[in-house]
Amino acid sequence: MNDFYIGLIMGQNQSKQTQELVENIETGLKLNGVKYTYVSDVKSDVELREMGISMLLGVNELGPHIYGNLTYTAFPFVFWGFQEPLSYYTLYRSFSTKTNLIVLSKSVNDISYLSTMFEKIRCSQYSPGYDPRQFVEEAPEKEYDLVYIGFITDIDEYEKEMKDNLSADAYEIFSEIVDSSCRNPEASLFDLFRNYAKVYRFDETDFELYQDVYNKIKEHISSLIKLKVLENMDGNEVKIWGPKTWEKYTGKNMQYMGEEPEKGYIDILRKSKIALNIDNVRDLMSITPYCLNVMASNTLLLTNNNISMQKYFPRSFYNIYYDPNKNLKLSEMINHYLKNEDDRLEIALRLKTKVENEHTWQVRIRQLVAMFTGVN
Amino acid sequence: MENFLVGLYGSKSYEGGTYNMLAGFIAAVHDALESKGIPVKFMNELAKEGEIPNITISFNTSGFDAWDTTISQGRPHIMWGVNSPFLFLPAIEKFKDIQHFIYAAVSPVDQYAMNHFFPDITYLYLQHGYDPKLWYYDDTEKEYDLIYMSSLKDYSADIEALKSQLDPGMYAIFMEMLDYAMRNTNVSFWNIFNSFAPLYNYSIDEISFYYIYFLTLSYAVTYQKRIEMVKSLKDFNLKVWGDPLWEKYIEGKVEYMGSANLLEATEIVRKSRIVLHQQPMQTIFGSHERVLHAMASNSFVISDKNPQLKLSFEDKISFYNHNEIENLPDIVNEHLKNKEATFLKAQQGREIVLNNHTWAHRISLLMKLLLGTN
Repeated sequence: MNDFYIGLIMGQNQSKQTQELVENIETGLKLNGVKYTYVSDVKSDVELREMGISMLLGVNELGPHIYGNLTYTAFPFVFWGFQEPLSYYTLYRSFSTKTNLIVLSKSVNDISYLSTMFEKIRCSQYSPGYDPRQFVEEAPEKEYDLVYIGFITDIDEYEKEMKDNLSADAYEIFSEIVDSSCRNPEASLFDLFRNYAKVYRFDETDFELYQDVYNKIKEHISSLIKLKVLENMDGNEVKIWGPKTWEKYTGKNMQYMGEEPEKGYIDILRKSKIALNIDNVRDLMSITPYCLNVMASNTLLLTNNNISMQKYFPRSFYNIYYDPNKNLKLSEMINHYLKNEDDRLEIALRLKTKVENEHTWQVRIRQLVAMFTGVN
Repeated sequence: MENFLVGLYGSKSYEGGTYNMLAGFIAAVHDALESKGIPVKFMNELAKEGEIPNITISFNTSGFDAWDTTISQGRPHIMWGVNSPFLFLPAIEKFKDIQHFIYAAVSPVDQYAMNHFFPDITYLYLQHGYDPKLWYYDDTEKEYDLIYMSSLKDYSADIEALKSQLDPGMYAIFMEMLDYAMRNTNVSFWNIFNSFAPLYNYSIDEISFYYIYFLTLSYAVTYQKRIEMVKSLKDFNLKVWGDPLWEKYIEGKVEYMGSANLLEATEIVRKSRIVLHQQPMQTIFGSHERVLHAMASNSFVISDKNPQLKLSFEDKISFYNHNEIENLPDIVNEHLKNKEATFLKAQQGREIVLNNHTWAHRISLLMKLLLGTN
């Protein structure tokens, strides 16, 4: 580990989210005693070796001017993308014939897409961590029973837009894929797209088409599933933070509380007994920072089934998973945990301890370095 | 075309395969080829005459021991499966390097796995057809309101057997996969296998591993779904034909009627107002002859959601979500209450299958694909 030296390459004009991620990664590197430096102008692998660098690590937005030279080298380049793989299409395409790129993707779903579209690129599922420094202040009182924080889109507006802009045939296929995705809430859209392509006989290898379909329907599917879950809570009221669009759907058992606070949502989570997670399509089969933050808040997380979560937080130990198609079961779980505080606190505490020990950025970075050095 | 000869494995006896279904298929394909003016003979006749056909066709592994005689002479063989090719792995493996070995499948979803494990085998998505001589409607009275015909095996015994073969870690992965498959019934096993691989760090190149998981899981899902569907209709006069194991799961007003062979089944379906269908997991996204048979008999089909059936028949079939099986009784009730409308839809469906889905239609398509002719 002592000789392991990471060259961090960063894009310009990073988003706030990327800046936070970089900061977290840097903290993780420091806490693990891993040497690193910023490499701003990559010229050749000879130069990098002369600098003593063992591996380059890039995060999220990187322009071609940043990674372009690496396509001419064999230098190991780890790219950690925290967004969906379509966001990095240009980068992946640039390395499509190279073997020096290793992609860390947050979701196993994305790997199916990556390994099909870019056969030579090696990829592994690797989850983000969470920052325990956000939880050091004394925990506030639990004032909310049940909360949900997340976006929603205007479902009717979307339907109208699709109907107006697509041919009848295209609209039918869109609707079928949307319906299938809602019925199979953990299915990869890429896999569904390819199987529908075979039945409807459109070109499954048409990347442009997939990109178009994906971008058009991903938020819509997420919104439909969210509404399906939240509208049928069988008497349990859920407090919702997110965009104003929620106002259109709240009422009955949903109470709109406002937009997500500027300083972030962690304060809300810490004040809540139970926080729901409903995965967005882009986050399927991944462990999201949101879920980690809920657990770190000593708040009971109830989440849709998710095989990545279930691997690290097994169902046999943590009764926290629901099926978005089985609302009754979710309502029963909520009722149970609100009535049986001991049960709720016991699971919440076990989850909190587990994320503190196994899912911080510090642990992630240690594991990442171990992947390359064999030293843990 | 007169010099072109097709050889078929089987006979016109209507006997062979489970409930004689396979025998019925090959007999119908024979007639369909003949009706198109394409010379065709059964392989046992050809063997006696010492003739070598230009191309041979079998359903599943019928006549497997004799396939070599024509394949070794460079003649294409079409193995038309009624199930996933992975169910016939020894046959597929034997001919994996033969480029004129063609697997015709009733579902498109195995293509990815086939391309991965057997890239040299040609995979052709070709739905089955139906035989209008066997499956028709003649104003027979609709005596049964609601029927379901299907096999049922003890899948829990298979899971137990798997448990004894695998180490506990691999068995735990299997159980996670099974649970996932039951929650996401439109996801193919190949997709599941690929999604779990990076998470549990196993290789997707190991076919024996893929095979044993696939076989056990797909049947477990298929049978479990069938049982759940029948149980959800315990308040209906549902009549079930199939394996005796059904008796174990029959509840309420549902009645087990025994098993029925091909010719008996044609009678039963003709007498039925509504026929239930569930697509086996092994062939999701594909078609199924049970649907065609029912529609040809002027029976209305209620099926779990299936893209191919939706594309082919639109609203001439009613669909339900298996994930919301609790809604199925309402769907069935609606169709039983509105008998005339249901019958009319069934009639419209019958027109569609008659005009598009007979074996003759499939043979036309096959010949077009193989020879560029109609």
